[in-house]
Amino acid sequence: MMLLPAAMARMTPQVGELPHVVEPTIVWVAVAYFVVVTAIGAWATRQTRTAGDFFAAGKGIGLVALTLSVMSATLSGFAFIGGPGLVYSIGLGAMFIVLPAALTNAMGAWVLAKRLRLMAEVRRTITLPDVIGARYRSPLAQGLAGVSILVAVIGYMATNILALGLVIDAVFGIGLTWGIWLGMGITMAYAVGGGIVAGIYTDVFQGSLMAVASVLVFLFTLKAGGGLGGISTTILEGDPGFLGPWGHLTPIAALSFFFVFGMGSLGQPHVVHKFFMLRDPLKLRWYPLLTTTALIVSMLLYFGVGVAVKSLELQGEMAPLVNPDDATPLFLLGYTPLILAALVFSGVAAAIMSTVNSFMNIGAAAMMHDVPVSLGRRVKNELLWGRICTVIISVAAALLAQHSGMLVALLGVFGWGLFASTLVPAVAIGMNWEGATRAGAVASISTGLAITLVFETLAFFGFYSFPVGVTVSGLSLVLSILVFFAVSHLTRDTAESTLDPDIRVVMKA
Amino acid sequence: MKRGVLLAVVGSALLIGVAYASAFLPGGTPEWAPWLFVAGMSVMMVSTMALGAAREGSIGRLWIPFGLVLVILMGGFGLVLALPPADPLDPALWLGLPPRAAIVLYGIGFLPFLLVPVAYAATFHEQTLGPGDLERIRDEALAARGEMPLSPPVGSPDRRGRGGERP
Repeated sequence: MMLLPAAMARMTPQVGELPHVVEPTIVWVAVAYFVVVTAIGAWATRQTRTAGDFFAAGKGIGLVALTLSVMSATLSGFAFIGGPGLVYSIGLGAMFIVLPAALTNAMGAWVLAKRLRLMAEVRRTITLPDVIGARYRSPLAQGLAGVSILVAVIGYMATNILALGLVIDAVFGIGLTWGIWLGMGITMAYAVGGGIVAGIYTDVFQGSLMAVASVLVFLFTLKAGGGLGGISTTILEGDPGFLGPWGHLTPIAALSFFFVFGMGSLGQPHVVHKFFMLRDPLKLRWYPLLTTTALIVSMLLYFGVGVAVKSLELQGEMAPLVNPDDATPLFLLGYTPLILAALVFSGVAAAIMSTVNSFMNIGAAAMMHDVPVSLGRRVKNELLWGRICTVIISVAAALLAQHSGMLVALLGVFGWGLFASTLVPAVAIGMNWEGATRAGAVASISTGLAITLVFETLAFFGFYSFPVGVTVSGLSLVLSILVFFAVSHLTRDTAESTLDPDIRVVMKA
Repeated sequence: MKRGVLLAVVGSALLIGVAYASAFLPGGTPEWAPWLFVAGMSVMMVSTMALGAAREGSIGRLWIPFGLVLVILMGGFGLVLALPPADPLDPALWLGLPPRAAIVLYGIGFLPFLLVPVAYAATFHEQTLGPGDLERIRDEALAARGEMPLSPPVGSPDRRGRGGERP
């Protein structure tokens, strides 16, 4: 059985070198892709006039844009490179990361979408910490949430920018340093100019590309492996545990994935932040159906490449991979037409860039808006400072990606779990339970922050690891939920006073 | 109803916590721990959905899809835990996968997709947001704060240019 911490570490984006795929077709498709993204960014810059436009798209996006941007922000490059590599390594257990997708979008819609959109209407909130601050009348809770987001964002961004640099280097052969700065420069250019508006509309383009590429590659995986039945038969003969229900994980480890990626989805600010932006909230009706469909379609590559490469290896058609992240590039180059490989490589860059863009935006919001507000200060020109903070965060993340070595991998591990354990109780439960208190929110955010930072760091440096199957992210999520309820119960006399009447109306809606 | 749902969330969190804690016991994770985890995780996800979907203390017709999702999660994971592994020499395949893998991917991974987003759409107006609700809620919220409504209706061009400022 594979130890879960090792598997969790692999969930961070690509950090090992990819095989170089410098081919004229791949290069030209990638160039065309970057030109389209730049053009969208230039258009979006002209649409961005206020901080509300920059951080919340002026509450003016439609359903399709919401759907595709949520899908793109959710997936990142992990779905195309790290994910298939993880399936190849640990088998079906890796599917537990994406398995809750059938539930999470509807769960997010019921628990958060309506109330966050109403908060944007009633309080003009533009960030998730804004909502926390308003819900609990607590600048401290808002500031803590902002700090949690900032820590996770910089880590996530550094690992994603490193992954982007590797992909660009693989496609253009320009070296990792140039790859990092070219990728970050293009993403930053449209993020600084067009803010989340640029992010949303590049996501529409990128998400469509990712979905189409995923379906086509899946068909080629079936062809290469002799259909799903052929793939299964081959794998069952050579490595029966691979297609066992938990793959090479323990049951608790696989279930932990399901729990953290299911419940934890309610605390991912780069995703739920987009609920503020929908022009017509009545369109939310079709959001879960469309987003779930798009996600399932886009996940076909994740599963297909992982099992097909394993099957091809067991048939002796492919050599065992030294680096599991090579599964997608090697499959594409060996078993699909070059133009499709080119589309997927652009799709990988697209997925990473859309995720980075979302993080740039929420990170800048935390830095420019949430942390100062928690200290009783307010930035005067939020649009200008939003742009400046986007540049600062982007350059810091790129420098970190370029120079910090192991630290990048450590920071990448924090991401999802830190968001989940710090934000799920205070936001997802707190926005639906009038008995939640300010002390409960502060205690749960602090618990999630402390447990995640301390135990992920101890595990990363090899000082202490939880037993097999117990993830830091899972344990910190469940403990922060319990602390939230326990402290809210102990301080229940204050619940009434931490809830403004207009927020109560939103919560009862 | 809401109190029951909240108790279910707390209870399920405790079950997951106990399942995790059992892994720290000498001798490793006991066999009952995954069962406890499955029960806690399934109840937590369904009760969280119910918490969010409840309107005026009721989830209306949604008890049907929520109940089915609970059955799918607990039943699916339970079957996976209980069934024997596939025989590599004579594998029976369900839609191209060994039975337990098929239960995981098609049952737990895909079946809720046919239920939950459809239930959300089907009950949206009665359970989530109906036409006119947005304006009504906004006005009620502003009245609760002791203010006259400040904003023109959503979609009005006047709304642009004021984002990011709290009243």
